[in-house]
Amino acid sequence: MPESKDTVQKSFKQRKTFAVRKEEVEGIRQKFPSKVPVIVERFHKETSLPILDKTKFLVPQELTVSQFLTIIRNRMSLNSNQSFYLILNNKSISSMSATIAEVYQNEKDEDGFLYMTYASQEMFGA
Amino acid sequence: MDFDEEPVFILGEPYSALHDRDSIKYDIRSRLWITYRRGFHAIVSVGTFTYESGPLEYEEFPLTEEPVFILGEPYSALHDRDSIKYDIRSRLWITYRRGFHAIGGTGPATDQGWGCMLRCGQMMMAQALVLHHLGRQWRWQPCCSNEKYWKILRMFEDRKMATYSIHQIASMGEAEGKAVGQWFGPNTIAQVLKRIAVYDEWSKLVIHVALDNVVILDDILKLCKPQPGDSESELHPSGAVNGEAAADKFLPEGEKFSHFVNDSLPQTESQKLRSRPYATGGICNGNSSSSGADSQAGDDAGKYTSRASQAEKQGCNRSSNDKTKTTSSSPSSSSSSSPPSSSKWKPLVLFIPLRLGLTEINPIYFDSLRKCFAMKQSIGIIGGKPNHAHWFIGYVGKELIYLDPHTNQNVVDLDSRSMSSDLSYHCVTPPSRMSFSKLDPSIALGFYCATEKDLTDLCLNFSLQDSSCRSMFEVREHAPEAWPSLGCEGLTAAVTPPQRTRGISLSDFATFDGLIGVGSSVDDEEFEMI
Repeated sequence: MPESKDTVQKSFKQRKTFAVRKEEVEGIRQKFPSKVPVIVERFHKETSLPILDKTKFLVPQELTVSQFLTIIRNRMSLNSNQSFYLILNNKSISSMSATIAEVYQNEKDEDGFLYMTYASQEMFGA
Repeated sequence: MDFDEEPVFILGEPYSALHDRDSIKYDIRSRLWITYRRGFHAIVSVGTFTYESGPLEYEEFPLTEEPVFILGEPYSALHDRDSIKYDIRSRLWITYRRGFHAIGGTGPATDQGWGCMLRCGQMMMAQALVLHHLGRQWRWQPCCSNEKYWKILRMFEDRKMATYSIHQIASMGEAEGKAVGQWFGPNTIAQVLKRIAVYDEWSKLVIHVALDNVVILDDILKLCKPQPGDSESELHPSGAVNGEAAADKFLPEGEKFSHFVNDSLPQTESQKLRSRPYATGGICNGNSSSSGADSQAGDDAGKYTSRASQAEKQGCNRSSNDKTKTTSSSPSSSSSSSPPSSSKWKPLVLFIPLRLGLTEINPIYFDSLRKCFAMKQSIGIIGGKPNHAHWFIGYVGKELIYLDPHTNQNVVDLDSRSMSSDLSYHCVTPPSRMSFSKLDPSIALGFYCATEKDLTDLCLNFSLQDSSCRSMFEVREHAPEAWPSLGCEGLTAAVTPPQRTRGISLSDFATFDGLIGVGSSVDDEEFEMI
């Protein structure tokens, strides 16, 4: 997975205004009513997990969280011992059998995107 | 003070450094020595406490009616103050040390500044071993002569031969991508302990580290309850591996270490992924009132009456002779000395690494964390404040109670077994406390299940938790579809994501069920189709 050249890349929300994001969701929802628009970004302090080459995903609404998580994990070629968490609205996903549509219902942003931030665990030592 | 003839003046008084040595001492110690303190009432309404780790004055345990739980035991902060004290000081307190043999021969001789999460993992593991070999009601007293206690303690001694030593953990960390001296996270130490526990022939514990917020019972049962067809040697290829492990004790550390690193975990190596349906009733049909009931129930009921005085009087050597509840009903006595009722069950240490927020912990999880400390299977939580690792052993009201490894002590030789050599492994000052909101979101919960029933009860408790508290993770009987199978490095058994194809135009989308870049009308950033 190639690391982004720009390591202090702005977040998706910082790059685009609310109006633009909202319009984008409306457009894509019209074209693909059965897909959920999801933004997946790396936590800005994360150092051990790679950066995904994509941030915007269109996810089938019936896909389960565990399937989605597995796809993301595979894309990063993570070892099964490595910790990996998808955080939504500062909460950890705790139901693997929920569908993306259900998660979207509960956690979607005002702009219509579902935002997920991924991170491993912090390290301690001092 | 040096013996010389230079003049000495202390606050206007002349002294001779040769002849007035005692007077100088008494003069100086008569001054009021005023130092940093912590734990006083906030200076302004929102007080912030700086982190101090020095051996300063400790605040007494608060007098409050709020509930107190220490590693599954309920207490009253008003009435059980001595019991709380004896319970906490009985835990193994493992801190930074200096002056041990260099790790790997040329590595660091102290772990100050890097080893605190390793020390917290040791403390939690030690608690699992104490439960396993001595039981929850066991209490430590100075000059303890209990053989099992000393055997446990020596496994954590700062020497490379000790099973769970800082040397073994730091070296094994390389298998998890951590060079000696690098900082660990809660998941790192859990993974390393899982690798090391295989070599603990005495305890024969099984360690399972739950992945991605999911506890999969199938995976645990495969480890803890091998099917009748499985010979012992199949799950633990003991003949070979244990023999090698024993031989390792005589190898130079470097060789031993590389053996550890290159050796994959015997447990997983030989595992056949069988499908064994787990009895659903065990998790869902139990009624809530039975969740806490177990072999210890009788003990629990009676413990409030005389515990304080019992603990006060009870030296540990006496306690082992005593016919009191302490030894008779401890879960370990059944699991260690005689086979437990479910005969083939291998006692389990379950680690659940979590991330409960990004920068700050989400307060919706506080009640769930409290419930963890109330479970009798609890061996605490490893985590900390940002950068500083602590072993959390319980809570009082809104505060977590923890043992802190941030005191750098000289290494001690436990071989000599002098009366006091174990003193530095017990924290006799009141324990540190901090607000739940200061907790770093990266943690690992720990549980010890001596029997299968312990695990069933634990899962029942977790599922009950959902009604009142936000769940932190999920318990499932089987792995979700498309989930990486246990012990499978690199996710080879997981569903392979569909081939990714880029730069395909939107019109081609329907012909592919793979991942396709879809040109967005708004800008050049494309949606990735899953």
